[in-house]
Amino acid sequence: MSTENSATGAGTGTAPLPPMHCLRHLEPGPPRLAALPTGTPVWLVSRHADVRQVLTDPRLGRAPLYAPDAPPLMVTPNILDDPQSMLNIDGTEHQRLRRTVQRAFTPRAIARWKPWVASVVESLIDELIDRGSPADIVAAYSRPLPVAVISRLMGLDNLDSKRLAHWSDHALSTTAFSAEAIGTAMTEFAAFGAEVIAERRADPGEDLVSSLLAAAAEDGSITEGQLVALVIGLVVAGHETTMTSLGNALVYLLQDGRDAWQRLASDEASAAAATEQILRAVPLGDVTEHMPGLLRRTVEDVEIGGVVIPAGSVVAADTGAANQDPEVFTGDLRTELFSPLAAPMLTFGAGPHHCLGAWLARMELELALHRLARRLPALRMADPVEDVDWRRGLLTRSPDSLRVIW
Amino acid sequence: MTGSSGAEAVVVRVDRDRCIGSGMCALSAPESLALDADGRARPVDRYADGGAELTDGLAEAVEYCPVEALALHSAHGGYRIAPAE
Ligand code: SF4
Repeated sequence: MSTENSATGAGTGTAPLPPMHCLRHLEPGPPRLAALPTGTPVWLVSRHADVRQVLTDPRLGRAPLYAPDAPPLMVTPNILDDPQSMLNIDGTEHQRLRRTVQRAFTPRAIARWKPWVASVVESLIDELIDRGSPADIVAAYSRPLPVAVISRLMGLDNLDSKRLAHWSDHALSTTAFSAEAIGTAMTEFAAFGAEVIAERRADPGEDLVSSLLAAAAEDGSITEGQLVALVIGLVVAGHETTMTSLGNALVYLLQDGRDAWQRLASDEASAAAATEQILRAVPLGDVTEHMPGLLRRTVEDVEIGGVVIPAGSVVAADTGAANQDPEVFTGDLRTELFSPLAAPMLTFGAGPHHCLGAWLARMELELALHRLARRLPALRMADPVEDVDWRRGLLTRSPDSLRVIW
Repeated sequence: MTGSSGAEAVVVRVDRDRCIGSGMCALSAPESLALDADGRARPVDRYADGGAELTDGLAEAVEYCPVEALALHSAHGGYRIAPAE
């Protein structure tokens, strides 16, 4: 249990990995005991209703995971382990912090960005077409789109995308980097966050950072450390997961799921339905041995799915398994891609820590898939899926590059 | 017309399909909203039916629901007050 296994770092692995839409999931069942890589016992929760309960029940929280008596969770902690982050605060304090940003992320607030996001999508497709087939769709499309969107939202016009990728990869590293490398990257990233905050205080604009500073000033209880964590957290969360989801959606749709491409092009409603199904069925990551689910810790004894989990236990809510729970979903993308979801998906979590960016991510994916299918009806993967070059050793897994032709 | 608090009386409706159980509303407006056993929000007492006063906490809960699952309606006229359509 040390940090030496950084040899599985990004890009160095060679064994072919299954694409994300083909991963096997834990068969949902009652909560059962397993262990984290640190040796800490963890209760794995996998059924849809149980996962939902873990995420919404106030007797389980994130803050207790970082209490002084808490057991070690990660061999190499990353940005998710920052106790100052909104993710790791519960109750009223969390609510106050969340309120400073919530307004910008409601479905209506996000809908106002739609024409602008569509224009970014179209201009990336223009450039892709200009450069001609074959092309790397990750470099040309799935990576730059979410970066452009979050940069604009936060007013980070001069953010260098290489630096951003460096920080994000370290922020969500499991085995790709050493603890020291992660520490250095996170210190730099925090300094960047503090700089942006100072700039925006001196010269406020219409962007999200300015509006959250205004809300925080009004509230008065939010610390500088929390603000920095919030800003850099939004930068990472705002692009990394969307890039991952879009990349993996394309791996599916441009080969195994190619039959659906014409229908995706036909109308936005079809693209919206497909986005929901893809978000449900294609997980963001596969590092279940490092992170078997969304972690919580019980503050008192709690009965979940018929099992009494004692106070102080670490619980992992496996949203991937819950999203494939045969009691609730059929799981078959091929037949269900355009069907409404049978129950709420848990990809964005649930409860107080439900993903802030859920509506933004949905809109980006929907537009990205619909417009790409419309403009490039003949688009397909150039190489077999076994040849996909994956980003490895991170909490998320998506193609590092993906050659396409049309 | 039996609404209790005159012209200001409101009821709150929860779209239980949308609600993701964030609990934000029950924290900001405990007098108007509570979480059910299934983790989803539900209006309480007169806010479910009949109507009561629109408090700051309730206005805030409606505004900040992460999935816009809450809507305020006039207890008398039945028309929607917030969020705007
Ligand atoms: S704030 Fe919205 S999502 Fe959260 S519990 Fe209340 S109604 Fe449900």
